[in-house]
Amino acid sequence: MSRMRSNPVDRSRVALGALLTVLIISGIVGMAEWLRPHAGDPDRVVVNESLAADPRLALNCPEPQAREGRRPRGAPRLPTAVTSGELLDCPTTWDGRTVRYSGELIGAVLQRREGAWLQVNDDEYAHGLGPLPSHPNLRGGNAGIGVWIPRTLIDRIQTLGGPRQQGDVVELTGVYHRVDPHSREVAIIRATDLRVLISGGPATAPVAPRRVVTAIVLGSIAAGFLIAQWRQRRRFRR
Amino acid sequence: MLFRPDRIDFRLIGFYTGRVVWGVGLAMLIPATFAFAIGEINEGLAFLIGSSVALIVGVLSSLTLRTRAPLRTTHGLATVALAWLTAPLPAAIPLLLSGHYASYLDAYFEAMSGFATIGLTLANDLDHLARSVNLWRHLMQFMGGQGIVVVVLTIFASGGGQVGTLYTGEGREEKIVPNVISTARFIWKVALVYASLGTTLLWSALLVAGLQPLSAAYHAVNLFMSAFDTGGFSIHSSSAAFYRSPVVEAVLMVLMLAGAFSFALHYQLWRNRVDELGRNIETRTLALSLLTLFTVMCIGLARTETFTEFGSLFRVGFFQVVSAHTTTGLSTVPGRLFVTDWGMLAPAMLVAAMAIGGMAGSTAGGIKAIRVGVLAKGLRGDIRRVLLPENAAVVETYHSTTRQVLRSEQVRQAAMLLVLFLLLYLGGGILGLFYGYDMELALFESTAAASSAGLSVGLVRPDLEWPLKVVYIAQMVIGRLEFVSIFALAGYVVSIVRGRV
Repeated sequence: MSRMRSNPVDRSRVALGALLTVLIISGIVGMAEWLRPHAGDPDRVVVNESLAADPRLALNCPEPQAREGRRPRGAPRLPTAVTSGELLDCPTTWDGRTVRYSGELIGAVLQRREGAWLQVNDDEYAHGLGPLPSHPNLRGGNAGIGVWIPRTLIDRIQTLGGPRQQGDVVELTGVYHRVDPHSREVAIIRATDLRVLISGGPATAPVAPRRVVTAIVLGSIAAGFLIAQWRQRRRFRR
Repeated sequence: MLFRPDRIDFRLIGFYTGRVVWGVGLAMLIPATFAFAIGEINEGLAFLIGSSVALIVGVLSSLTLRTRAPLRTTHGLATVALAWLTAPLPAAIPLLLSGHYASYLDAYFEAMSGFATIGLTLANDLDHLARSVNLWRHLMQFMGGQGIVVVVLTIFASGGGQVGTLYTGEGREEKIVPNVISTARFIWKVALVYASLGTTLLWSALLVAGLQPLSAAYHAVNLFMSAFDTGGFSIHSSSAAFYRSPVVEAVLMVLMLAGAFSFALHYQLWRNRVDELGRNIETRTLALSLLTLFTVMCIGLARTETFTEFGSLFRVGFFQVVSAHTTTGLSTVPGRLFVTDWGMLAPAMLVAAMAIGGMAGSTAGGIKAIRVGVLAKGLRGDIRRVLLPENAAVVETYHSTTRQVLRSEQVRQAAMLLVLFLLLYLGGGILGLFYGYDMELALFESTAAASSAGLSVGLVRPDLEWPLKVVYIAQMVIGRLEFVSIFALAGYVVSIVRGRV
């Protein structure tokens, strides 16, 4: 049997409840913004500097993009130093060409029988800024390319980038493949030479004294409420 | 008719929403413990703060809104919608405090992308993100894939019979066993069995790929949650391509497909009814769709001469189409190449695969294979009625656990949801046009968000226009909950304003 509806909540009370909810959410957001690293830092920059990442920008490739039924022509002589953005924006241009590429080693050296796979990023964090959150500049996502190196080059690698760690910044020379004929990997460089330009090392973690106090205060309140809830349940069961 | 809600309606919806937030708060203690254990103190404190906020809100609602009133269907639906909108609020706190997100909106987007198992990310410098924060991103996908409402109310308890209405509100229609709590616990059992096997297999494959044992274990745990719950988050910005391993890709494909299978199908397989795989309308639809879309994709990629030999074409293309069709979003190809090197036909097949999605009652999103299968059967029935004599009785049947007669009501419901999903995909695409993106990019990304697929051509990035971020968030939750819960919540809001619906 359906419950009789005789007492709908007054709209003003609903509005008050909604306002209270908005205030609570605003409080949570405000607290989080206050606690975030580099909060209030006038040097904090939030912009995506790697313009090649904006998909609206027209590509300017010496070779046309891949399209059904269209065969790529031979391209004119090209400079060898490239970025990952250029390789991914114009893959048919660079396919099979020797290139120079520099960036930060990331993650792991995946050793195989004849060599190893690397991930090399050439975004803003790799070239000068350093990893987040050691600085306040948010420069968008990562950009990079997979690289295959022969075993003879593995020992040159010292440090890999990761959490709180800047990896070696390296310059490598090799052939870019749209699809590597040996490994069947997509968009990779088969390197023949690698040299470390800047050795990696630990990145500083920002100090966060406010967090300790906030965590203790909120944690104590939460613990108090949990105890109160547990007691209420015990009384309820009796 | 839905009248203006009274106090009991608010108490019910608020109470159960608070329980879900409370559960999210408890879940955050897992990455908090991990963070302190590995020396990520700042992140550990951030998780404690987020957890405390969630627990305070959850306990307060429990203490002040507790009621014995029965939970009706409309309450359950509205609760699910509100819980899904509320849960990312505290979950976003440790993300923002990590220093990798530009604003609270970005962190909320990431949290919603996690719970709704989308996989689109707004993280800045993901490759240097703290390990505990990365674990939390993947854990959100695990919780969301199982259904956060069901997670909390079955594991943390006393939902009792009330859980039934909440279960259906999360887009699950089929009860595998008569009791909803038992159904939810079976879902967990399947997930944990796959977790043990899948993580072990992945760990082995990652060791062979060249990772160190501890690192391989960490990657395996996170990759499993991403693949089985068809989420698509990855530890590194290069996604599954980071591992450069056909073995890892093969294990991931098995897990993605397992995640896209309905839990009802898993129950049949659990009971050794392997023939269900060949007879079930959804597996047939999924298989046919995969094969067709993959074939057309191969034709497209051959025409662009992106791949010149079948081995590489099969390895890369099949992984991508499985990832899209299961709405996972893991990728072995940089997303930019879909635009610059894959022509038009192959990316279009990925869009179609994402749009269709996986099976109903699975962790996958999209329109769902059952609806596509039912519509196809309905169409076949209509064609037969036209061709056969007027007095011929045409009965279409389909097999889903048992043989069932196809009713016109089922065809109508499937058609309605198909139209709603297509409108959702198109709506986000049109807004993308407004901001200057090409139609194919806008439609690709909109479909990825609304179908919870998460493959990206680069449109979703940290400096994306904020209205698009808001729209994609809305698409994520609407697509994940399959409209009905959102309509119920909207109905309550309208009834507050108008006095009735």
